[in-house]
Amino acid sequence: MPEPEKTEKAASTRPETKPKIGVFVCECGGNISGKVRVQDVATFAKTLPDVEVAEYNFSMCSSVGVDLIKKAIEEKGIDRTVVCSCSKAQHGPTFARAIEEAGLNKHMHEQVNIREWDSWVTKGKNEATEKAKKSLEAGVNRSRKLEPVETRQIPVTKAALVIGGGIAGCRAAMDMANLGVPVHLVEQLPTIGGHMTQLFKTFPTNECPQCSISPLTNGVANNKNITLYTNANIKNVEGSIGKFIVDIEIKPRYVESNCTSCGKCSENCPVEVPSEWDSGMTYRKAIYKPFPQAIPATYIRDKNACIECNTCINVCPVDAVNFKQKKQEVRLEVGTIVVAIGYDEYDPAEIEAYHYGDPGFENVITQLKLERMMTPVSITGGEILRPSDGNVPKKIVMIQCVGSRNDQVGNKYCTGVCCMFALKNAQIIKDKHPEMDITICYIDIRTPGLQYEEFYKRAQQLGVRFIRGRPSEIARDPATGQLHVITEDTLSMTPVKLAADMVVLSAAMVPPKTIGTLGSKLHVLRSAEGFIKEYHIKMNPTSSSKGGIFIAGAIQGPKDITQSVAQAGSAAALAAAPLVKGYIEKDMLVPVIDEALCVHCNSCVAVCPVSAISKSEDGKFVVNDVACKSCGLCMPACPTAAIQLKNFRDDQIHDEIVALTEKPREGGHVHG
Amino acid sequence: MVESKKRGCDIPRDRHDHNIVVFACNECGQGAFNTAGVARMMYDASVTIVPVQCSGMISPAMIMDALAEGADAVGCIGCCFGACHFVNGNFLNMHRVKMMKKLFLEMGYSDQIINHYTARAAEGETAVGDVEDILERLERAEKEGGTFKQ
Amino acid sequence: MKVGIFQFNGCDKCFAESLLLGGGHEVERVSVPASWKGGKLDVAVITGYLLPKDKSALDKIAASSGKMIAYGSCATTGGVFGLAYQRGNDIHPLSTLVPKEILNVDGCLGEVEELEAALWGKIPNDKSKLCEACSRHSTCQYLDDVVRQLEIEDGDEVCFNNKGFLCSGYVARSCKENCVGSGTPCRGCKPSIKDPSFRMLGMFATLMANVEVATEATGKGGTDKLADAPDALTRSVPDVSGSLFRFSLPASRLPLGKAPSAGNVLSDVFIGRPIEELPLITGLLGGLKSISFTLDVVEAYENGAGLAVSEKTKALRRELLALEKDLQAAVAKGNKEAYKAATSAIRKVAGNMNLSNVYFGGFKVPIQGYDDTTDYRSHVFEIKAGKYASGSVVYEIDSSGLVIAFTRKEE
Repeated sequence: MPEPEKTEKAASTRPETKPKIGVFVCECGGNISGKVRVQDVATFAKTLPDVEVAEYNFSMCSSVGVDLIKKAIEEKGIDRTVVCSCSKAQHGPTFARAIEEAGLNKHMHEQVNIREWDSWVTKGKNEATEKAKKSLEAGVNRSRKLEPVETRQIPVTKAALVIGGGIAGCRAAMDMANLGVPVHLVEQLPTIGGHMTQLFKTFPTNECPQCSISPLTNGVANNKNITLYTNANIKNVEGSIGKFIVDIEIKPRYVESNCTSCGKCSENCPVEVPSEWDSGMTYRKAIYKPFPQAIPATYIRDKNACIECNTCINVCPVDAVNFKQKKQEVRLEVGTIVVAIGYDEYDPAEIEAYHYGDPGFENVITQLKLERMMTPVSITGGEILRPSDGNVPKKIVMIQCVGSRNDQVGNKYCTGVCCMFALKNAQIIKDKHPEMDITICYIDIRTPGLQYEEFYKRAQQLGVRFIRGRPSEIARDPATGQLHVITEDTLSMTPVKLAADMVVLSAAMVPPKTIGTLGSKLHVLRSAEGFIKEYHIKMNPTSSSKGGIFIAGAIQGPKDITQSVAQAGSAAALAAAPLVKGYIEKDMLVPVIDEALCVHCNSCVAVCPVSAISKSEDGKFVVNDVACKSCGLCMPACPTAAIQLKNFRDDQIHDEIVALTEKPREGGHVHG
Repeated sequence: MVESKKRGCDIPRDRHDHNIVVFACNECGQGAFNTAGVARMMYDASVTIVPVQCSGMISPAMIMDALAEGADAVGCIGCCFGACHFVNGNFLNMHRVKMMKKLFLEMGYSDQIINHYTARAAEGETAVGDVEDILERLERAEKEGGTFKQ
Repeated sequence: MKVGIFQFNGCDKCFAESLLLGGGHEVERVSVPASWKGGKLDVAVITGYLLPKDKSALDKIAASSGKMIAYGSCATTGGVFGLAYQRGNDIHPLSTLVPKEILNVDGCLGEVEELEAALWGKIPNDKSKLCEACSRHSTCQYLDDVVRQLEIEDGDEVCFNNKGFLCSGYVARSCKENCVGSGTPCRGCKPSIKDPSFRMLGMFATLMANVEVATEATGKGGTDKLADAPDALTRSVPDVSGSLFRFSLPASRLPLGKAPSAGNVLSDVFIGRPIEELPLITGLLGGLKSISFTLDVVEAYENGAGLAVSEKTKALRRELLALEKDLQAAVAKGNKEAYKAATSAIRKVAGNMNLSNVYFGGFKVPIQGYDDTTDYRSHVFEIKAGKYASGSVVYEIDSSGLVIAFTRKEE
């Protein structure tokens, strides 16, 4: 077999000079020294080969400790450091920065954790000290073969893409546009504004959402930095942060942009169909504007409903109607992407016992449908009427947690918004119709935050009834058609049969249907519930798993408008930062391929999660430095170990293993 | 005078001090151990950690290296299924470890001395629970005479 | 130079091949090293597999020679016989038995050209790669299935591994035997790297990422781990040790195996091996009797499982048996020319000296000089559990096709 030495040298791109290692052991103010005999560890370190300096200190992360390191570099010529203290996450960057300030490459630092992984978790002092020595030797061995890694500034395309034109998407687009970033906003519906525009009032102030959002949507439509694409879908996304190539497809409206929104076409159109935007509460024409305040104000033709009588063409005063309009394909180059595609309302038909959508149960509706009913322009003129016969209901029952907090059907999570909007709608109805009996069947009422508990109290004061229990069924008397909500009042432990003229289901917020295809195009992780997974649930809720792609609003998880707007600002800041700076900084901690060993099997190409490895024209395999995420998945996939991740090479890991698998001894372990 | 090369399996080892090597991934693996540390959850000092970027970076050659160099048991700890920061690294390592387990069974050893575990960065008890599982299985393997050192 | 060639345990293929060593050397051939009288040698060439009982003979040879060369996989890493290490047979690579610097010439059959160069101190360390010499190309993608047998199609240029058919060519140097050219996947007798078997195991397991593995919860506060239950993955590669460690089990750093032994090395080599690998294994370790050994194994299954065999096949097999007799005669007389003639005639029909082209039901790839290739081509065959016997061989396989008993009568 070939001798190991020769193979190693061929794979190495490292300089041949002898390393000079500086070891620093921290007492961590007693957190480490309380268990580990720090002085013994430092003394042990000095016996290891190539260790020039071995010291210990009360607190390495303090300025005193950091100065020790800098002094060792300047005076003793240390070219790499090992600090035995806390975790890499905690102070790795502190020491990396310190050595960089002293003139070394910041990757020449090795962090050995003897606190979280030793002093804090080990019972006996002897064991803790022995373990610290082992870990130290492993770290020293690894540091011996560290190599400097370049931090490259990669220029970025100064443009951003926002997918989704709801409240979160519009807010993110505006915030970025205000920073001078050109923004492409792509919305799949013909109008922007999203679900917020469908609401009658917003809690806790009961304001009109159309009025709240109108300055924003108008702002978005008129901003010179924002290009709006409505009726458009994302077809493909390639690339990585700094340069994404996005293909979008704009479906034809069949109405040109010179439309003045006068409405004559719609007035004269003979075809009427139920309006989807209005949850079927109104009718629209085959050529229509979804709602009066829609932006863009351009009308749109529903090709499937149209009978091509050409009336609209004839009556349009500016000749804007064009049946021959074709779909457009546009290719965009952007530096970062914000995904804000919102949510869908859970379809309660899945809960068979509630009979949503079944014949005879027309009076079982969702809260969104109730919102549409309550708006002044609805088919009921803003009145609350039963869908089955148009009568005013005397008894309304609202059921909470439909599709939420459920282990059997729907979703396990709590949507967190339904309590507030149910209370809001109950209040609105009670304000208008104090004589109406409104009962809310709940499991818990969740109204955290300022003004929300007060909102709940007000509903109680208005006489809204609350029964604690999840209804098991909505029953219908076949003779009279009367609905009953069957539940249990768990506080008094009595079964209850509530007569209801109308039942309103507070349905959950679920991931939108489109996330399936879009998610796979973006290569972002999804959570178990189907939303886009945030990078870190506490520290980074608006970044996705992929660099350069940020998330805002309900697509990250159910939330209300306030939270969506806040997230949009965060996502906008994160997305705009590299664009405003003009570049991203990336550590080139990338794999290196040894051509002599490579057998061109392509398995590294297949295994790379970000498709960063490819075959170039001359047959060699190359790594896209910018896309690489330094995961190292390519290493075990390679049959010959030809591909090695810098600073995580097989021989480095071997050297660590050698130290960890034996009792510590003076001089360390020297293995072949 | 050149010494004859020793086979890895012939190098004498101290039987009485256990050595457990755990490869822990940068995200959930090391995260869980950090959380366990912060919460002061105690576990056996025989466990030492080799930080890797992702559990998908662990090769069978690395695991065998640890065992041949004297580890009594090896654990690989990655993120939970569906949570791997690099998409499917945890799945990849599972397959490699399962193949090695099969190899060990064919050779007549115990397959309990290596395993792949998942952890959650926010939950220290997952790391500690995994360590306890490793030790429990090692004890069983030693009773059956299925470890490398016997 | 004064060269001593020693045949220890196992087959005598490499020992015979060393007949072809170039002239100009004073060669002493020792087929029973324990009875060697001794003497001064410039180079001692060791062939065959080694056990601890051979140490005294080896020490004597080491003391009497300048250089020592391990020739053939048995001497360098344990070879095919090394599979018996799985069942407690303490087979050693030469380098672990003698306190001397060893030059290793891998290969099953070891290449005599490399041996010649080794006599002059040249390490066979060329960076040649099997994949470069192989006609197939690889686009490694995750596999949907792993297959134990593959229907060999002429002109198919897809890498075996891409088809789910394990081939260790990625970790092998290119070689004369060229098993892949006979539709037989490489098992890596000439590794190009250290740790080839574990690296190949890692790589192939990567390709199997879509195959299902069993998991379970730890329940101790931990989350999930691998379950002990057999699953689709373990069923896909029924013999990891035999297929991935074919030539180097004793050199793999794995401890001596503890699987139950049948009492002798040969049986221990075969137990646990899948039926579809048997013809290649007999071809490797049968030595100068490999043709009759292989045909006994093949015909035992064909007769027992009812696999039809064409007249052409039978004729070709008779031809091979006749060639075997020629080969044995040439070696007995030490006749270099007759040996060369016999081996090249065998290679023509059987693909190589490992008999890669010989298979259940016939042959795998076209044979030079025979136009009607369909007549004698073998196909993927059904695995049937049972006891099979023919000639000197009796063996039994279980329902997954693994050998559970194997005996061979020595003549």
